[in-house]
Amino acid sequence: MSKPPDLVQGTLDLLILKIVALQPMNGWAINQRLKQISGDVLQVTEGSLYPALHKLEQEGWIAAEWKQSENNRRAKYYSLTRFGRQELKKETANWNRLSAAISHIVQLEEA
Amino acid sequence: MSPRQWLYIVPLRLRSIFHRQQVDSELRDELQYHLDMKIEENVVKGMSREEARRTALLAIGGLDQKKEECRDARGFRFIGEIRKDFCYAVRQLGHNPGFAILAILVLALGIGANTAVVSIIDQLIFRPLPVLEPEQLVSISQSSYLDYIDLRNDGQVFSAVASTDFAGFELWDSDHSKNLSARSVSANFFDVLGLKMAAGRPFLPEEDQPSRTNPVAIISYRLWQSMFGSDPGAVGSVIRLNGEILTIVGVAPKRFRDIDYSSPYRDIWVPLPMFKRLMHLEGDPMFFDLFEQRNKRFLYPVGRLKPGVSLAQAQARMGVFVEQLRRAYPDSRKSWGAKADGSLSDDEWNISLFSFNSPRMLQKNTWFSLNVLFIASGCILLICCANVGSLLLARAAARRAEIATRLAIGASRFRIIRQLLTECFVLSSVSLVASFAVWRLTLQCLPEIEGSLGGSIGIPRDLELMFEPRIFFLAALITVLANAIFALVPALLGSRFELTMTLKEQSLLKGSAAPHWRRILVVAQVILSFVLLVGAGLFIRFIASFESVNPGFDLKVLVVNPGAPGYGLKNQKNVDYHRRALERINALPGVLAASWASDVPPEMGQSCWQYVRPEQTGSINDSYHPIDCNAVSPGYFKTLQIPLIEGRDFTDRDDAHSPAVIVVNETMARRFWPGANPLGKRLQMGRKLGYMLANREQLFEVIGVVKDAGYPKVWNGARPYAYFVPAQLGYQDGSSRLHVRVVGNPESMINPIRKVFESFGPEAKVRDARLLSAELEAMLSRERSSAFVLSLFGGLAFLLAGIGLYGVVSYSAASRRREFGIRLALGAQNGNIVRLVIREAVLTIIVGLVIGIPLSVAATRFLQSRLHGISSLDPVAYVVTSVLWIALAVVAAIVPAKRALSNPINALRFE
Repeated sequence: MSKPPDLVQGTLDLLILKIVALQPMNGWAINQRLKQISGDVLQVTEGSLYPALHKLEQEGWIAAEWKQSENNRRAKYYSLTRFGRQELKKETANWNRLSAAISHIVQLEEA
Repeated sequence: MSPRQWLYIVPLRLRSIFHRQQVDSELRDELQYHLDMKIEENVVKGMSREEARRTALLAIGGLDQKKEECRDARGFRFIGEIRKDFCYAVRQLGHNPGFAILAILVLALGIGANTAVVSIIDQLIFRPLPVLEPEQLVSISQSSYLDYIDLRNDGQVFSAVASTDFAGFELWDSDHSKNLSARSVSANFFDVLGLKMAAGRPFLPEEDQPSRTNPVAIISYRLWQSMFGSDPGAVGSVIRLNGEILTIVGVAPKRFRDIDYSSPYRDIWVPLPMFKRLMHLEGDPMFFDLFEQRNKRFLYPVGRLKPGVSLAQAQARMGVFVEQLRRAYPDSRKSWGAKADGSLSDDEWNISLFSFNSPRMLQKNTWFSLNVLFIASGCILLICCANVGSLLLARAAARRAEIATRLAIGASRFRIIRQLLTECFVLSSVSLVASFAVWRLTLQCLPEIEGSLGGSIGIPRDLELMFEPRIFFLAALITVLANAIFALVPALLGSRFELTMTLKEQSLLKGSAAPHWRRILVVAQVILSFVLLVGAGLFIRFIASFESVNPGFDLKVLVVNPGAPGYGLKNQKNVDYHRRALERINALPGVLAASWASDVPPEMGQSCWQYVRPEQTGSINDSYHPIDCNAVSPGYFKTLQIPLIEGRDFTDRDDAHSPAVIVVNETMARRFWPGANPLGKRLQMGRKLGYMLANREQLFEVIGVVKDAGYPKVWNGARPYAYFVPAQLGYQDGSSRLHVRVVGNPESMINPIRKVFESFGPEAKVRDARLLSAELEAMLSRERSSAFVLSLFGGLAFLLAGIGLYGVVSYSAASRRREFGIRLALGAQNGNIVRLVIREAVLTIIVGLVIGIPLSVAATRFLQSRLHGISSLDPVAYVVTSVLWIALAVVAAIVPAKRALSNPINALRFE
């Protein structure tokens, strides 16, 4: 199972893009941040992030760079590219539209 | 996706593909880092190191699995699988080398032969001549020199007008070792065509003056290479041709051969005035004033249209222009012109224009032969495709069990199809490479083969073995299409079967769709090769029909060509030489009779023809009629054994000073003087040079009638033919051949004859000597080469179809072994079973014949005009071809039938 079960299809990409938009991060840190922000609501299986990261890298949305980590080891850091920023904007708009529509539907009063 | 983003992504992706190791090790490090951090976290939570590690690995869910997922995300797997498919495809083909080699050979043959033919057609027809802006050039109908000058000065529609003589001519070099193809051109010729000299200069305007002698020449690039080794010093050197010394002033550009496609490659160009001089027309009573008469239209001008002027506009202007000329020179309206059908008319003085590159320029013969070649090679390609198709189908059928098994253990249908397509791709690529060898070989050998058969197509000896992208794409397209259709269809069919069903079928060996397809493909091959073989058969019948006909002359006469000693010799000397040479030959022991003649049978009318008008007319109206003729010396009829019916032969006393006389054949006597005695009748003569005609005042009197000689059927009926004494005709033809009848073996006389000629000095040298029967063979060369091409291709197709049929019959016989076993057990005889198998094979062929016969009737209709006397419906050709096919069917069926019967008990146990 490559994707966390609770995540809507495609939303993992959006989350990763958003997180690395704030600052360049390595895979481990992205994982930690995801858990931390969502307050454990989103169950991200250990390591299931990596295929998504590699895919985003191949798409040209994030760039990878080997850098010294806080604990003095070499780690692969991902940062948002110019194309990634456009994609993030597009995906965010999509998400807003979609979630608004869904919440509108679920809030309908039952007759 | 924006182009910029592409630029960013492509290197990334390429890195994933080509730097796999590095990317992989980075992936390992990245995941290891994650794992270490997780362990660290767990230790902080209070676990032991061992436990922390175990929990971390569990949480990640397997390092290798994650790595694999990441590779997937990068698109590694696809690439890797293609590589695997490729290796597997190569291994598969290697497992079955017989199939692979056969398929590759057949495909390479079909594609290679076709691309070669397309190359030839491309070079002969479609490749534009290397001239500047050919769309501006127009060919102008025959004009006189003065018309050409007026046209050049007119300047209304043409920016420039150049000119060539009507057909070019041949020149002999000083030792008669080779003849060169020459054409005289106006001085501005190379400039008007926009040709840049490879060396030296074009002609100068003053070299165009008819009043001057201009012994200069421009040689072709080919001659420059072959004769001078591309030495720049060739410019300025001299060559001796037809007794004239010419100074080379330039070398034409590389691919330029002549102004039109029908022409042979020219070796040399000379200024227009040299035409008269090199052709020795200065002393000719009829053509000495070539450059002064408006009705002597011996030029083909070429004009370059001014920008913006259309062909129609130019043609309209020519109408006005010629009207002015007609009014200004009313006398010159009258010019005897020969029409295309051979009749003569008082030509209306006209100037017509033709677009420069129109295929009208290509000779009919060439078109015909190219058509035969093209159709034959097209048929071969279709047959090759059908053949490989049935091979692939057979293979697909044999692999159904394998495919079913692979499906059963989890391969996706897409994956299977991709695998089969990869195999097809490998097969195509290899055969494509091999086809280039065939292409090259064909291009190298075809001109030789064609040349040795008489060279009717006129394929240039030096075909450029150039890599043409267009032709390569054509070949690739054909290959890929042919392969994909025959590999993909069975693949799609094959992958649909359920495992159990296929395995069951396999065990029962029941027929599936594939054998039907294969049978249809065999029928298609039968049809196509039947057409080719019938074509070949018709030509062979035509050639054979000559051997049974009495030509009316002795085929064992030796024909000697002593070069062209007439050139460079003055007239009287020339006559003396011919007379003295004849005397010496006649004196040789073993010589029964000898005679000079300009026209060599059996293809009569090639070197000499005349236009005649009987003095008093019977049924024939008062105009000139074309006849073929022969300028002969006394004793010709005796030499060739042509019976004299009435009157007398020529004697030595018939010369330039005595009354002009003529001997006619029976057909001419009958046609010109029906019911009357032809002896003593007189006729007027005109002589043609190109399309020009001039008439003589002198009347010729008929002194004898001989039997018709030659092959009337080649001429569509007997033709009027007449014999003259050359001196009375006003010219001594340099191409006269010596005809000799000897006792015993004619070949043994060649050497003594050669010695006689050598005694006359270097100008007279025997160029070749052969029997009239060899001339007959040469005459049939066109038919022979067509027959050769068609039988070669047809035979090949026959063989391929035979292999295909054998395959189908074997398969079907093998699948019916069980049935045969039961039949035998129930009391059938072996013979019955064999007959059963043969019946099936013969039926397949008969289906092919039923379609093939009407198709051949339609396809060979266009050959009819070449098959004088043989109907294109010739039953012998059809029957023989059909019988061959049925025999092939029987042979192809017997072996599989015998094999199926070899052990009937085993067949029953087979299940």
